[in-house]
Amino acid sequence: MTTMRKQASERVVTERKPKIWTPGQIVLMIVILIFSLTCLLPFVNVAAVSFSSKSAILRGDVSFWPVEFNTTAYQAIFSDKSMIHSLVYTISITVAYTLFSMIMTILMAYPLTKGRLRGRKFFNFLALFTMYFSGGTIPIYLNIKELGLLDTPWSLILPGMLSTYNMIILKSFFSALPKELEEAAIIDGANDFQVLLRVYLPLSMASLATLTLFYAVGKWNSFQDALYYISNKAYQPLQLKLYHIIKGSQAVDVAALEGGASTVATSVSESIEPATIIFATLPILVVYPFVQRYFVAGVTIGAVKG
Amino acid sequence: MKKVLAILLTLALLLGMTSAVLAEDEWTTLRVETYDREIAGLDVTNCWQLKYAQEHFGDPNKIKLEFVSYARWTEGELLTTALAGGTAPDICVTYNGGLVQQCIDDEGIWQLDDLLNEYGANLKAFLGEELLTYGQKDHDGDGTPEQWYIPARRISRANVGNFIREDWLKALNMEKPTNIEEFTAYLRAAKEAKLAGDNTVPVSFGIYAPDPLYNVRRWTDAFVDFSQVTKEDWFAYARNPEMLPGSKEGFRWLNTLYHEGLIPETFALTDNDQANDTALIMGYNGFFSQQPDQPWRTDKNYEIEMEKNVEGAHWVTVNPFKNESLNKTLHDIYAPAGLSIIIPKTTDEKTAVAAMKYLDWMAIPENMFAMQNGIEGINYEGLTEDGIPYGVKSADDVPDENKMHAGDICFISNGLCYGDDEKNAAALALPFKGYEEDVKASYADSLTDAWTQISFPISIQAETDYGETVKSAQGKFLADVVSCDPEKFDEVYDAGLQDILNSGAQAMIDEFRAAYQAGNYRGVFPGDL
Amino acid sequence: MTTRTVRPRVKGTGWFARDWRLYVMLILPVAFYLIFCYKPMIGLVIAFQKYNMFKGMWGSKWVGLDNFKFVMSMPDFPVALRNTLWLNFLGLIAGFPVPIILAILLNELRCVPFKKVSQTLLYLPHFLSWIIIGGMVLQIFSPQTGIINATLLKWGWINKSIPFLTDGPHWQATYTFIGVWQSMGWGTILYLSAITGINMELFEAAKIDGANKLQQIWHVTLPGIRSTIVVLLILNVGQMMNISFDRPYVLGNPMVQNYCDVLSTFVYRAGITNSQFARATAIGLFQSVVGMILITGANLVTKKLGEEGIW
Repeated sequence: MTTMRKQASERVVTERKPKIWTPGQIVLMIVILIFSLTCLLPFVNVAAVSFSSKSAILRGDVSFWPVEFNTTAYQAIFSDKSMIHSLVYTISITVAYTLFSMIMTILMAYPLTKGRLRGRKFFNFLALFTMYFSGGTIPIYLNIKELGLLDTPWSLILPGMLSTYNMIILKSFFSALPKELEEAAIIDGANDFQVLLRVYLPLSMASLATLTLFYAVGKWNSFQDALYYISNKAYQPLQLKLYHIIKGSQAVDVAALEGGASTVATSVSESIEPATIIFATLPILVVYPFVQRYFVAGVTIGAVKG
Repeated sequence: MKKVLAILLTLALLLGMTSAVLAEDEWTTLRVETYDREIAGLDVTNCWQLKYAQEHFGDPNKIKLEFVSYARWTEGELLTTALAGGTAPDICVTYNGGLVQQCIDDEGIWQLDDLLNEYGANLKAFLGEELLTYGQKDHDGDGTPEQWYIPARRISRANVGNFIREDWLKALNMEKPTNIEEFTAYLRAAKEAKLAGDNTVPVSFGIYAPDPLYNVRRWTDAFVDFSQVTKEDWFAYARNPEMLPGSKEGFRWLNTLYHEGLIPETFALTDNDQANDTALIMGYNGFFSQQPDQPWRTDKNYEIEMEKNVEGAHWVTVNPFKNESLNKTLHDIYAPAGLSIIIPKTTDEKTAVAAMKYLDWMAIPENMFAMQNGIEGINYEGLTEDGIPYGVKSADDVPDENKMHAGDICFISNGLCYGDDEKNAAALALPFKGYEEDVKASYADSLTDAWTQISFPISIQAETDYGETVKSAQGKFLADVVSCDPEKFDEVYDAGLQDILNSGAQAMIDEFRAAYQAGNYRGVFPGDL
Repeated sequence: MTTRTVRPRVKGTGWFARDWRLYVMLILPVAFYLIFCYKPMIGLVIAFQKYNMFKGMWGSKWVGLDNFKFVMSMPDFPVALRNTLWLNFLGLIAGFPVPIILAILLNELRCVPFKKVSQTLLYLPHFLSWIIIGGMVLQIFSPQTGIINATLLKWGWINKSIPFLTDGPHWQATYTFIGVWQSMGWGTILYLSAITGINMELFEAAKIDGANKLQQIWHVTLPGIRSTIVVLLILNVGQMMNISFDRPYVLGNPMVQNYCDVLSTFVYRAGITNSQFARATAIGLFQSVVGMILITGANLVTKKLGEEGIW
């Protein structure tokens, strides 16, 4: 029996039950395991540090398991009551951003794959040029200000909406689909919108999922834009707040100069950054499996036949 | 018809008069840049200090105060962008001297002489004439400097703290070293006796990448031969201690220490490496040199953690870097100026007056006390007989509506100020429960034979252009010179110096020299001490 | 390879009647580019001015190429330029094949749960900040006390610590290795999704023809993702003049100054910390122009070789 899901088209079944535990597969799994471990172990270390006491961390005792277990670092994060609000807010701007970005990317990539588009080279160049030439921090800031976007959530969504890099990748995925599909649809009377929606998009789920992931993760992890554009606390994304918390706990050395009472945050100065990483990564890891199912091989272009 | 006209005219007159009267009564909005450190529960735009200032200053003067939040850790970039974009607040503060210089050069901020003279009597009294000169520069070249910014007063100017293990000294039966020879003997003996087992590294030493020679110069200045250094040279080599005659021997000494295993092999990798912290806490080190309160700071808790791990371990202050030519152990101290307070030209005249009034209000002792310390019983337990608050509560123990930050709001004073130097020194030690005497001793030591760091009241183009590049070259120089083969030391040293000169230091030195000759310099020459 | 559609060729306004929908699709993206990218791009003129941030772009003095001349005459500049290109080149050689190989290997796995979990794990390094990675690198690669050196010394396999971080060429190798490790997850996802697009029937046909696993990979999988490989290669070549700031800044140290200083750290020193925006913009403009030349060149070369370029 097959374990593959049904996609838009059917998978032609020719194999019997695939054997998992052949020697070849085991070797393969060991190789992959080694790679995976190099990626996992540092993360485990980060998690362990986030749950360890400051003394233990400074002693250098923590490797892959918490020493002197405590949740103070996480408490420090959550003692800021606005953290949950910020989490929800960040999720909503990430979703909005990803949605808009994907729409823009698709709308740009699709026409550019058509050789009949007049001015194709011009549009290509228009996009490519922006990948290299940028005004710089101050001109961009002034632009955002002039557009009235300062201190609004839109300043975090609109400016970075279309990544030319991602668009070029999508373009190449679209181009890789057989032309016969489009021809078949056109014969059936479809126009460009319908070809895009009914033929290209369903068959590009893997690449769309990939780019959606890239956009979402990129937005989730970024805070440089919010740093400059947002001063209203309510509109600060999660990563920005976490960045401040980390800095706040580590810069006690200016206390004599700048004067201020200590906080619980300083008592977790060593574990707070690891805690923020775990806290900020978990949502992505929760979402990731849903995206993964699109990376399953087996999309056949069966509809072309006959 | 005439009646209607008359009524209309009277109405218009009345309207005009009321609006004139109302205009005089109009409130001014004053936007003040306020650092935000993301202290949980503290909203700087709506904190207790704002309410206090509004009640005691804003209301009587018809000024509406607004605190604008600026993230402390990126304040430089944020302020630069805001100034360029015209969105900066009415009073701006920054630690970034280069940015302030840029504002002066580009004429983007107001000159404050008139405002200060008319509305800033208390402020002038608090800051003092000498400190105010730090904010003055002769931009238009007419011979008289103008007041471009208000420098905040640094309460604590101590910079250098040298610490040695008291228990190690006892174990080796040695006295605290008072000069380089004794110091080296201590280090060698400690290493040989393996006082911390195989991991013994007598010195905790690392390169501070943003300014590599800043901490190192206290080591090498001990070797400088001041009989060969003129006052002019001293100021010319302001940022190049490696060029001072005699310092070469200091670097050679460091090279010796490195090859004897007295300095960590990894000294060049990074100053922030956790391995450095671990070594200090596990008691592997016998000496380190940083800021005067370093062992007791709560971010690393070097002293407390070390006591947990090593029986009887204890850091005490020491002064080993004696300069033989002067017979003094030099300590460099900060200039009296801390934060720079500027008023950008986007602020109109009326608001600028309000700004100066606000600063002046903060300088009055009662107001400063309230803004810096808060309310007895809530922010601190009580007052000592000297009138200094003790038992300052951690921010988590204070209810949200009373949370505050002393330095960010009352920014004309960098550090808590209680009137006189003695009280201030005592106040510095109070937060370090259990170690007040150690801290006091450390601060006292760091202010002996003190020379003020050098600064120049004019724009030094070469420093703006090459300052950072020279520092980077100095970092490389330090790494090379300390770790190279002792046979090749002279070669590497001379080549390194040449590199530094080529990377822009020569231009800087020339310009500094010219500034000195024109009388435009600030700082103290150790030869004068 | 672009083929014409089955419709007869039309001239004159006929093409618009046929293609107007495509132009409608382009409206939003083009508007985006114009408003958010091209409008602020005018700010590039700062590179040719003695920029006064209060007077703005239109009030500052013009100084022609002075900023460029100044920056390029600094002794650090050629070093930074050389290191940028070299480190990117190393990264390309070492890093380019790894995600492809990983994607192919993952694709061959039959145990689906193992495959899914591995994919997730490979992506994890992407989420670690460079500060954290820097700390770990020191813990692992330091001389004497680093995990690798300490273990090798203890077992007697080496007599002296391997200078992973303290010797120039070694440092560059370590830097490259860390870069590959951190980014391989990202590339793997991309290639995996490309592989899913390969027509399964090609595999069936190859099997019927008697191809073994390796031959299948060589003749079906690789050609199937060839366009993706080519596009990514061109894009990467085009990025050779750019380099991130965090990675070299965190991993670098004064001992390997001549090997680790790159354009991003150079700009930080010479243009950003001292608020010299005009100079920073000049360096950026230089990077942009060269980068554009590189990608155009790469595109031309690939087209000459018969592949489809990116434009």
